[in-house]
Amino acid sequence: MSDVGAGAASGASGERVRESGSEASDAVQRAASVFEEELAAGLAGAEKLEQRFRAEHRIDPEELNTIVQRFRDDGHSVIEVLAERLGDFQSEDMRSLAQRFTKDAHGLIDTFANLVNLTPEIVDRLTDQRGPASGEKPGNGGQ
Amino acid sequence: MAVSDQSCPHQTETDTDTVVFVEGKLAEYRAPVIDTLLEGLPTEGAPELYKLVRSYPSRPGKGLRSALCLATTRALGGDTAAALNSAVAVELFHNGFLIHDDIQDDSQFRRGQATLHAQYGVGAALNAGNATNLLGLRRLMANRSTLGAGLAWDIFRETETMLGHTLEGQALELAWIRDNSSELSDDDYYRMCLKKTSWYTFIYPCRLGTLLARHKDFSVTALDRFGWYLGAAFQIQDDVLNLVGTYERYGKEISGDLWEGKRTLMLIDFLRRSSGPDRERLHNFLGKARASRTAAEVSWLHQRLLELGCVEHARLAAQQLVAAALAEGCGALAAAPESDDKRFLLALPSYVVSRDH
Repeated sequence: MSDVGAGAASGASGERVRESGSEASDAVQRAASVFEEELAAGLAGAEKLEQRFRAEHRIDPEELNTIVQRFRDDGHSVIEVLAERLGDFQSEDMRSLAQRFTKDAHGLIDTFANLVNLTPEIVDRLTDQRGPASGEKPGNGGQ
Repeated sequence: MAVSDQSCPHQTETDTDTVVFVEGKLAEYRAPVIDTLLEGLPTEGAPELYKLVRSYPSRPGKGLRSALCLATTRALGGDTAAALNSAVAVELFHNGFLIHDDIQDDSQFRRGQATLHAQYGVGAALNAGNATNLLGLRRLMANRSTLGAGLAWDIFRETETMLGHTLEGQALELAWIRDNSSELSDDDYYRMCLKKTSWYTFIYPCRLGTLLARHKDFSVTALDRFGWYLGAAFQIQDDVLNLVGTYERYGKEISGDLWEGKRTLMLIDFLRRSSGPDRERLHNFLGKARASRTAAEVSWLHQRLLELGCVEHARLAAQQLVAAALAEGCGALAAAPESDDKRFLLALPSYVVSRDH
């Protein structure tokens, strides 16, 4: 790293540098928060998928899989963050409860995600059984 | 500065060892990428266009983005040959961005030489940037026959996401300069940084590398947080080097960000903390077009950023972020076997804050 200019961090700015120690420790929290917001905005993908299903009566399994995978990853991350905080409890009972909660929560996320991944097949089958949407004639592709 | 994380056994080297190792690996990853890129440039049709397209990739550079793509692929057990085409695409998109970014910022130097628009004019440079992106798209299309339609489509979708984030980030920054925005927070900076820099420099190449490795235990987002923290630290360090580096090592004009009025973490810090004559002088300076700013004004701003500790504040933030990046990287790659590629990825946090160019 270049040391040019490092000498200026003295005198009046020295105090500023010390203050910066605690401010800079916020850098990671701020960055993490911005990232989570962007990921949440990415969930708009789920809304787009729903809109397309309403219009086209089919679900793209690849697209759904991508959304579910991101939900699964983020869900596991959130549980880990919570588990770290719960692990701070002093009582053995509480620690044990926290461990059980963590395990159940991870399992629930995976089960839910696996169930959702079955959706395209079920929906497409139901759509096929229901036949073409009203106003469409079978065999002519709705034209 | 060596970054330490006791839960990660990879950080036992000195700054010098890290820089030597990382730069050696960067050169190793870069060579086949640049060779393939240059060899694949069209030779017919419009030689005057491809002469310009050839310019930036031929100049000395780190090749960081394509290196990340290849290193991630290899660290997760993937095949280098299958990943090379995508790594070239990553490099092409990067060079396309650089050409356009230099026009938008009216930067005068890039990688130790005059920028493309300074040499050939804005029109020709703009066209060369578009052509560079077109060549990147062609590389992605070529993936279909070598990687199969499914993986090629996943890579294409990641590229579309990356382009969206990058263009939105650039728009944010340009709007701040155009509107002379002075009420910005650190969060605004991080959001711009995530979208404009981190996504295409770190998150996107890591995602491509993860996809290309086809490892069932690593999801495409496995290295997202590693990439994001690293990207933020990288950008902050780049902003710092723009003020305190040397042209010989940095390769871009020193204080160029001040001439451009770029809203860096340091400038936002100064904007937040300044008052009275300082604030008035700063606001007047930022309200001017680049051509109207004087060397004396830039020198004053440069000095105030140092005196008030804004530069040190940014350096400390970068150090915190590289520590977080290392922790995330160690966690994400814990199941990957030991290799030089994994070591390279986990040495990057230290390198980012140790580099001077």
